[in-house]
Amino acid sequence: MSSSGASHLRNDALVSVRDVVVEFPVGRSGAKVHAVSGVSLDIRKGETLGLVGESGCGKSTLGRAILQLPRPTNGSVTFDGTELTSLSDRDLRLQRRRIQMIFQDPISSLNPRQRVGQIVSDPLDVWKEGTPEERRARVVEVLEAVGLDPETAMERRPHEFSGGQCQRISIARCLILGPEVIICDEPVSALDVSVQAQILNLLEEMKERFNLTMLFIAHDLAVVRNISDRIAVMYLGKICEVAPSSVLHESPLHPYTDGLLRAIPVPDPMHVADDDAEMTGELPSPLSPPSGCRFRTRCPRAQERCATEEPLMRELAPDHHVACHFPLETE
Amino acid sequence: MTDDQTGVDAELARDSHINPDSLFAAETAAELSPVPAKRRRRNLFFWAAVVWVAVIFLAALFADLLPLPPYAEAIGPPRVGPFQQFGHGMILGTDPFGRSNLSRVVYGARVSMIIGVVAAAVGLLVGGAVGLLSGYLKGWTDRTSSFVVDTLLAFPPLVMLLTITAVLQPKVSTILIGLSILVIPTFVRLERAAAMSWSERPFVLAARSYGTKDFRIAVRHILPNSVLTLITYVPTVISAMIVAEGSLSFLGLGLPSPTPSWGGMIAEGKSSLRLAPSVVFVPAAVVFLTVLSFNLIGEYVRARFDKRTKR
Repeated sequence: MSSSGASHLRNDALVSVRDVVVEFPVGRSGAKVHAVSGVSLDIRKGETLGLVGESGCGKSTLGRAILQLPRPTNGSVTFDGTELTSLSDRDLRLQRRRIQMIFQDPISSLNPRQRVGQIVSDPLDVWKEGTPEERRARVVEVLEAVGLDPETAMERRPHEFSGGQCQRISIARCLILGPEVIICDEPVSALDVSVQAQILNLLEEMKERFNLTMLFIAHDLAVVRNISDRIAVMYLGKICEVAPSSVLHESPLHPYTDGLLRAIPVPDPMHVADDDAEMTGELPSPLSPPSGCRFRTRCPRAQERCATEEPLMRELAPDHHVACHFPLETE
Repeated sequence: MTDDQTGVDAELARDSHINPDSLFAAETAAELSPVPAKRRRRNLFFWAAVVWVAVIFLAALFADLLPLPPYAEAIGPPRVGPFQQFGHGMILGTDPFGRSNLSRVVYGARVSMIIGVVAAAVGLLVGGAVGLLSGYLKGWTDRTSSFVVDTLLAFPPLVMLLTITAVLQPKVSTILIGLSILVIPTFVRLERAAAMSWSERPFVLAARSYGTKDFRIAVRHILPNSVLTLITYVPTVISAMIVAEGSLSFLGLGLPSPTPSWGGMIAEGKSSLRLAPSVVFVPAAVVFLTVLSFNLIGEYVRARFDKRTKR
């Protein structure tokens, strides 16, 4: 697959993804789903990149491809100068502890047969770090850091905790090895709105405290708005717009981003939704994506050119990149 | 999300430590709730089954210490019905050779228990290990083991047992080999399916992402979760093995006389079934009660396990 443009890429990134393709075989016919079709992204040290798109657009697959779980079909993923895709399993294992992941379902992220103390210290046990007393002290430390009382929590099993508390335990397990990058795969989507804010605040706090770099995956632009420095919008396996969080929210350039922003409910009974720019239809099948621009089948601005020519990523405003032939006007 | 909303939520976050009091309160409330009558009756059956199995086990274990007449010698007239005479070992009557039914049932329990428990244990260990590997590793390991398992399952079980006992000497070990081969595929399939579904869980992915090696993931994360499904199946397998041993002995391919086994006793009594049904009835009743007990225990354990997993 040809590159989809690289104007949004920088040279000084900690994590860098280049033209990554992830394919899954479908059935026995030999057909393949392109979950991710040539995506390039990068994350600077200390930055939080929000990755937004609707369900099925390949954002979680991309997050896992960075961890090489599974390894991408094509393309390159470099972390701190090391190419991960070509590493042997043994060398990859050594790198893995530097990148950790938090998952959407807080309860099934934890082994139901283990006690919380065991769950959180398991990464240390795997790496045989420190004496049992030192490990225990580390566990107490991270549990306190995520706002759980170690005394009561350690001897309990996951089912005795709420979703939000389970997500705290996941975060504690994630932090215990002292990672540099955390990939958050919809960490708050399964939680109540009030708990969502708590977990988002906790992630923010942990990021400051432990100097983390984050990739924050979500299907909801409202969720990533505050936490992200930069946001990438993904549609059907491709990136369509990249911009700093505030810029993206105030002046979206891609019609898809605009549609997503309009879909955020406004808490004002007098507010009238603008029907003209509304997105219609379903996400096309990634088995046979549309030619040219992948969004054209649902785009209110689509023209003939969009069907024949794939739009490349270009910089329309400072640090505001979009892959669209007919972007929205900038004020 | 507006800024002041986040502020309020941050405050909430600070008091979000788990509150031990509320947890305990929930537990005591559950304890105080009255036990429904249906469940109590079910418990009664379960305990009766446990007692029966315990009696059979203990009898099999301590048969030599019990004041029983030798099982290979005639102690009275043949084909005495149960509860007719109450002399030494006569309470359950005698078989067509005048031997004590009580002695033979007790010593026969040895054969049935050894065969049931050992075959189920071998099936659990071997089948569980193979199933765990093929369900977790997938790929060629899974294809190979699935091929072998499918082949074994396609073989008519009785034909296989007949072949094994015909080729090898009819000994306890021979029957054990045959029956173990018979139950292994079932355990492989159960464990494989369980291991497959557990290995898709995010906690397994998380374990891999912090560098856990495959062996540790299989043993620490997948096995403890999937093994319960297998264990609940063990009592059912034991009862099936008792029936299988009975069928083999009934076909004359069991243990050679005079070693008693329940199936053998039924086989010896079948010619005089019309004349003296008690000769068949005594071992048949023991087999019936034992198999029923194991099935009840299996069912109870499964129900308990289901409730725990649903929580």
